[in-house]
Amino acid sequence: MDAKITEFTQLIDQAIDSAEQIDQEEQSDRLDNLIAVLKNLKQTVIAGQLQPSHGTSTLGLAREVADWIESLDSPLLSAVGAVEDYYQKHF
Amino acid sequence: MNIKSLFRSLGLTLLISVFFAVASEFFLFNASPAFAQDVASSCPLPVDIANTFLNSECQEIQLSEAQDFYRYYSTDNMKYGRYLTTDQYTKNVDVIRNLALNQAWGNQATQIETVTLPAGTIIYKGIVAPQPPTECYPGMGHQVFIKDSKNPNIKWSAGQNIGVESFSCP
Repeated sequence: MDAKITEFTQLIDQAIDSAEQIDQEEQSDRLDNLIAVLKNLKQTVIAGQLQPSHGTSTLGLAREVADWIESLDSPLLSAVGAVEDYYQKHF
Repeated sequence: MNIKSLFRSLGLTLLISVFFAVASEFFLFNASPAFAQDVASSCPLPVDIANTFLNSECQEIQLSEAQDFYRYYSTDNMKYGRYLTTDQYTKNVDVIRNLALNQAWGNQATQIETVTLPAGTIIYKGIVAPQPPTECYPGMGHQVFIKDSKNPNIKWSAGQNIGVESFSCP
């Protein structure tokens, strides 16, 4: 597998791990949906079907998390932020 | 130039340099958020949040008086949050496209609410970045971010229905 795709999917896995460790009753449905979106994103990336960012598009992950996460210092926001950053710089 | 005038010239240069160094520190230290529509040149948010704006560009603005913003949602769990807009739409499909509400997140934008932020609130305003597939979610609407959506002085109106059309994305 392309090194870029390997590195990107590792970041997605880290975001999934981070999401699964969150213990937040409030907005648990949005958290579950985030995990589903991340898993689907990983499959799209592996299948080579992710539309390029051209440095401007975002995946909407950070906006979704920043909308409801309790603390803006949350490791989950950093994890999805890393996914967004990699997407914008490498795809 | 004799030695005496050379030393005088060097002393004056040193004095002017020290003055400007102290003055610049003073102005930097006392820098405050822009008021009303004054514009800061770059987005002063953490990079993970700044990246949610087009080209990571936003303006920090402190509201000089209470101001109304809008939020679109379709289920109660999305009624409250940190992202707002200044844009009023009458059809959900326009909201979905211009605010790049990828339907994977579940927000069908069937309702609008007015969110009144109190004077003094610091907002971060920029343009919505596109999301893939960009032909479905081109963005380019106005996006507003607030750090504290749980401020008890924020007024969240009851939601009102807007025009609903079926949204399809190839």
